[in-house]
Amino acid sequence: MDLVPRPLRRRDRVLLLAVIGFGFLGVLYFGEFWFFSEARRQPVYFALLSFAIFWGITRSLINWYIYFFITPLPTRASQRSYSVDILTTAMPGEPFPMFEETLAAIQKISYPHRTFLLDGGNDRRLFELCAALGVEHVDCSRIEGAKAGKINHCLRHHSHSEIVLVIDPDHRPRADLFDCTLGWFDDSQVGFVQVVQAYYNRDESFVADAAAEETFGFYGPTMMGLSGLGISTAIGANCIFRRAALDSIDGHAVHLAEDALTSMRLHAAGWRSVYVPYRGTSGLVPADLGSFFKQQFKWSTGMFYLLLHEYPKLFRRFNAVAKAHYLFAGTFYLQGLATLLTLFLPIWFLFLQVFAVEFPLDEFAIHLVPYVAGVAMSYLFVQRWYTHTSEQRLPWRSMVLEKATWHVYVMGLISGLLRRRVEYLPTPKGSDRQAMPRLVLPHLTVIGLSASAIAFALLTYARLDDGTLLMMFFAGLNIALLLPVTWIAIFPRYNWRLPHGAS
Amino acid sequence: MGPAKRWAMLFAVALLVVYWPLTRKGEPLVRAAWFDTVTRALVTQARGLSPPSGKMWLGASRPELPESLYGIYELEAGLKRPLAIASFYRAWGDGAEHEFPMQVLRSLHKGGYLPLITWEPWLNDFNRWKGKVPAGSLGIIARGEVDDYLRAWARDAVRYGEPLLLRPGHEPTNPRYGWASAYGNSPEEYRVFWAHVRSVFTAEGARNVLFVWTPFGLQDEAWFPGAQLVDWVGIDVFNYGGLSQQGTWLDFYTITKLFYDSYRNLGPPLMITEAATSSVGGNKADWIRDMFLSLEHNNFPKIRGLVLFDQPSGQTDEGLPIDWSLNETAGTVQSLGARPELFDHFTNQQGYSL
Repeated sequence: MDLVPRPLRRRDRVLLLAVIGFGFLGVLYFGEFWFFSEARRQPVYFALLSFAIFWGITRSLINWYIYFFITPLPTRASQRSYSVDILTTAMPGEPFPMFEETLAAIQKISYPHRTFLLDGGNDRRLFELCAALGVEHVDCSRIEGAKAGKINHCLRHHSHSEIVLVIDPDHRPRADLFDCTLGWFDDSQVGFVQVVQAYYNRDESFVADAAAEETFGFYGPTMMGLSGLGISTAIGANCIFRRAALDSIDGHAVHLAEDALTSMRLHAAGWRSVYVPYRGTSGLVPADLGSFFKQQFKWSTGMFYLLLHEYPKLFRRFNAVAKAHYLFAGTFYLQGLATLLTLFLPIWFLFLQVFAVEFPLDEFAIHLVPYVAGVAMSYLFVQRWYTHTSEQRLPWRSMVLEKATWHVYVMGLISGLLRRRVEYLPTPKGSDRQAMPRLVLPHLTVIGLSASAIAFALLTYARLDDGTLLMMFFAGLNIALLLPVTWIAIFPRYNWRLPHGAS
Repeated sequence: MGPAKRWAMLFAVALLVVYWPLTRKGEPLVRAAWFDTVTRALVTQARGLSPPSGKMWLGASRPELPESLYGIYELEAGLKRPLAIASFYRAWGDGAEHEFPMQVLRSLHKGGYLPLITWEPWLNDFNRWKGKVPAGSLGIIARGEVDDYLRAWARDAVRYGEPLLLRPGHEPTNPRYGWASAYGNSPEEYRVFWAHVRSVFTAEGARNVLFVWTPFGLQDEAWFPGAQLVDWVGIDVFNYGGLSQQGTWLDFYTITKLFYDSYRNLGPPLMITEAATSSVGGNKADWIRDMFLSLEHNNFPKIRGLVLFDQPSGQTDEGLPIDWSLNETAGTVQSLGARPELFDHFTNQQGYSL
């Protein structure tokens, strides 16, 4: 069932502050214990372990800061009328039935609009489909710059409307999309309006469900908080732009992370953005591990690129909130590095019998519990701002999947640092049902090493002190967290919930 | 749009302000409440803990303890017999090595051992007394001047919560020890000292601690704190053999019989808390074997435990080195291990008899 988030009442706000305050105090409590106790041992290892642990804690603090500003905006119909164009792209190899459904859904949008299909393959069948549905087919087979290049070409030569919806071909819009959103453009400072990206193939597989779950919080409390800060970001798959805004930054950015760069430039140019928690479109989420990793690799590489090469250029034009936000967004995928450390440090410590810290286990637990409880409480509490009842559940799937994506993020970081060109490819929409053990080779290595490290400690240590027990616990936890995704990579039949082609 | 950014800053500052009293005042209160209600309630009542009737506990002290259990495992392998008691020594003082050995005790408990800590009230390891044993040290303790240390031990004992044999101020007439008569301590002071130490443990709720009193000479009854305050009477049995002042070799039965007759009617059950022999002037393996035979023949029915003093480094009164360890004479342990009937009396089970 769809949920329509209400504006915060006094009771909501008090509870929100209580949850955030509890978590914040928990961080102080653990941080004081961690950094000011006598338990430090080896300084280098201590620094590495501190980074690994406090990376996650920093992200929690950022989330809580964002939640502080949660502002669910209502849908809003416009007082005046706008000219509206809808742009969607086609690439060779994408399945034809998808276009039949998407274009039909677009044409059912009640608000008067023109629709352009920007065809990179200049496909005859698509041409005929467009003719039948009243969609304008634009031959983009010789246009450089992937999706954004085609969009800019169309904006320059074909489309002249005030409002532009850029939508991916797998995303089906709802008929009342513009009736729910255009009102926000009546504020002349608003450069773009973003709506929820829902997925209709969530039930297809474990990966699809987990990958979708990773976005529930984002298209809920996070974006609502960013909206309250005036800095909600544009998402390439379904964003509604004001044409003047796009023109002011010389069109849609051409980049691996084109949507993020476009919103950066728009915010740098002083445009405000609005997020409406309305499930305006429904699309596909990667359903097999291969496409999910590919998508995440693309995004992480793109975000590191932006951080290293674009963020410094725009820095002086950002306001303070944008400066902070894009720094945090650009470093988001550093969690791959943090996860790498949390995976390998216990192994290292157990085999070499070195220690970064030596706490009594019970004291460590006592000091960590308030923070963990704060995270859990805030996770559960902010679920009231999710946009669908089916999203309100324990998010273990996304945790497991995110943990298992660490190697992809690390590759993304390396690509970003080395400036190795990564060719832009649309995220594959098809599903691969082959066993892909190569995708999880690093995981198998980590699982094997962790298990041997635990066995090594059990068999050779004279005494299992608290530090050792803690590291054995971490190693065991890592095995448990990596196992599900490793399992479905090797035995894909456990991934799929629906027979092939059923979704 | 959303709330103003300065409210977030104010909120964070308010939390920082709240944090200080919350952790500095609130946390100790919560911990104290937890200790008083939960931790204390979880303490095992150890009064009356003993081997099943007709059985004895076998234990040992080894130089590897408390850092490692290796010595105990080695001895068990040689004797082909699990031990019930692991015994080690702790002196009083300010340093980390004088603290309650929580981790060691937990490891011992996990291994199924009942720990016996000989707890030596040397005051010279407290910074206050700068390495010198003050005269009348027992009076100082009885007046409560090291109560912080005692209370810390008592509270840690409560946290440990499992049965524990504690032997404070053993052999009070042994001239080597700072709590002995040689340092100006009288039997009256000793009894007050004992009652004070025990009262601190009782006040903290350390029902798991069993107090072991051990005399040195045969006429130390005046130093006995009273049956109400003592759970076990320990006897330390040593044969110095050719290294003794008289140079006489005394077997286990002879020495033990003297102690047994002196102390068997005090009330609490008896336990041999240290037993060892020299090899000068006789055969170590035979002495040890005869000890087991004597116990097997039930010569001393009130003795319910035997703790071997398996330590290589010792000294005679004249300062001569003496090796108390079983392994000093090759084959001692192996020959015991080859005779399982010597151990029929022994068990590592624990039961309660009131």
